[in-house]
Amino acid sequence: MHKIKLGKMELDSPVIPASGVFGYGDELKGLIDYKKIGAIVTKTLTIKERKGNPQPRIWELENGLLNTIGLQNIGVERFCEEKLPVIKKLKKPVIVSIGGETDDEILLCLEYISKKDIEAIELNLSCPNIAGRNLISENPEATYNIIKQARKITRSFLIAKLSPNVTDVGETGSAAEEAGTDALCAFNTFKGLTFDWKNHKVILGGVSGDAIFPLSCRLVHQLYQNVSIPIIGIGGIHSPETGLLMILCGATIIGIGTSLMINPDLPGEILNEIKKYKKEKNIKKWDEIVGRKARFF
Amino acid sequence: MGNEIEHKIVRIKEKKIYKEKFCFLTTENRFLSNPLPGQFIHIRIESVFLRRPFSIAEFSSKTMSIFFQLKGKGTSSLSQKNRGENIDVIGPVGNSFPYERFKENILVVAGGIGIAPMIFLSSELLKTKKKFSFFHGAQNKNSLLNFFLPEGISPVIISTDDGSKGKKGKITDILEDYLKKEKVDVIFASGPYFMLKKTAEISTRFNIPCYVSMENRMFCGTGVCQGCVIETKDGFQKVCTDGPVFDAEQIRWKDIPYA
Repeated sequence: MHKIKLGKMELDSPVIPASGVFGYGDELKGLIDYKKIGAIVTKTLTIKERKGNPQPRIWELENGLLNTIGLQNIGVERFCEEKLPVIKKLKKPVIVSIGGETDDEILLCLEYISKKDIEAIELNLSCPNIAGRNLISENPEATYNIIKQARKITRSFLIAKLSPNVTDVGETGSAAEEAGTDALCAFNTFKGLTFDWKNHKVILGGVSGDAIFPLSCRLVHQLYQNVSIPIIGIGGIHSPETGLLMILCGATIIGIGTSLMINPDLPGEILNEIKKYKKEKNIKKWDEIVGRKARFF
Repeated sequence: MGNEIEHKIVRIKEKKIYKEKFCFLTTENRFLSNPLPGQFIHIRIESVFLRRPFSIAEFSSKTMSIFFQLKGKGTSSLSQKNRGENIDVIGPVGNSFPYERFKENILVVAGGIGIAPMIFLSSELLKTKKKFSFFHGAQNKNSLLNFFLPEGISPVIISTDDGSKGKKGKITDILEDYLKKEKVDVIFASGPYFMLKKTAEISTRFNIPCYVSMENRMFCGTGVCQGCVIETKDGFQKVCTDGPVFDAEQIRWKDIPYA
């Protein structure tokens, strides 16, 4: 497999875990072949520890999952003391995901983490499970503003994680690019609703899993036509073919979330599919495969 | 946690369907480390989206078994798998009953299909020559599952809600009477939520340590997603890897929306 360049990072694989399904990075060593993934991606960390939402937090759908976890995490400080030294030993690029309820919280967290020895920072501007606010990345101006401020704080490789719940992903993506993000993570979960029939209660949360693949892949395809920075394509990848397709539609690398927990061997299966495709099409460089099937209108 | 979680494809060696609603499924064991009583495996079932957790009911160097009730789409299609077919498992997951530190006067309480991990626990207790009594309760004589227990347990005390076999009433009522008369050092319980809650209340009243095997809807089953947390005195704890066995005193029962 080619080494894939993402900023200064050299990834062994174009497949990475999506934030949230990989814990703090080292918990799944017995389960997942770390050689098959390009980087470690942590769950989203906040400046202070977060308890997360009340249970139940998991709602199974016909072909997907609705979660209401609410960014439960130990806080960035404890992460740096307890977890970071352990995952640094895994000799993989480390992408730390950070978030918060306000711009200030996110930027404080960024200030803290950017002083540490990590390869990239994902700004989670799109968690649908934080109460009482619109998501930053639902608004191009708010997206632009926070990235502009983030850029003043750090020169680290910044990845803006976007929401799919917008009229035009090209607009938010371009705003993020213009403000100076190095890459885009597309996307977070879709806002969704299910019903608790036992307690007759509406449940709002983020939808992931197989069902969202055609939606997110189309949005990645659209985003690719609007930006020139790398896109990390995420959303419902669940098979070797869907993994490859996301790349052909414009993702420089791809992230797997929900399906990684259902099939821990998926990264390896996707790598084989890519290898086969490259051989068939006689592809020599990674650039030749990214966006190969993106149609420009 | 005593062992690392692994991902294996295992072949079904034997399947027994009992009374059309219970299934005892034995597969080859390919785990590198030995499962402990109380641990579970997380099984991929094609007909449903998420994996499903099943307590390990029996284990030997070559085989491992689960025992479950046919309740919905997932359990129903798993029960239709046949000898020779493969299943995709993650495991062994979770902690175990802390039985090693007790020698005698152990009480095992199993309600309904909650007996599954207690079959494994009983085997270990017998193997290590611990003295224990086994309580098993079910709705009626057709739902009793005590004959899946290993031989040599004494006594086995049975109750049914309708009195069709054993003592009439809930197993927890019988437990209460028993504790008034007998010395008990520890209670290990597995079963429906209300049985566990009641057992916890009784054990507190009698000042006896009690460990319960909890359930929750689960996604990753590996400790990373935080989906299966329950409220405890130490904050949210994950049923999958902090549990499934918890000190009953630690659980904030009123904050668990199982009812």
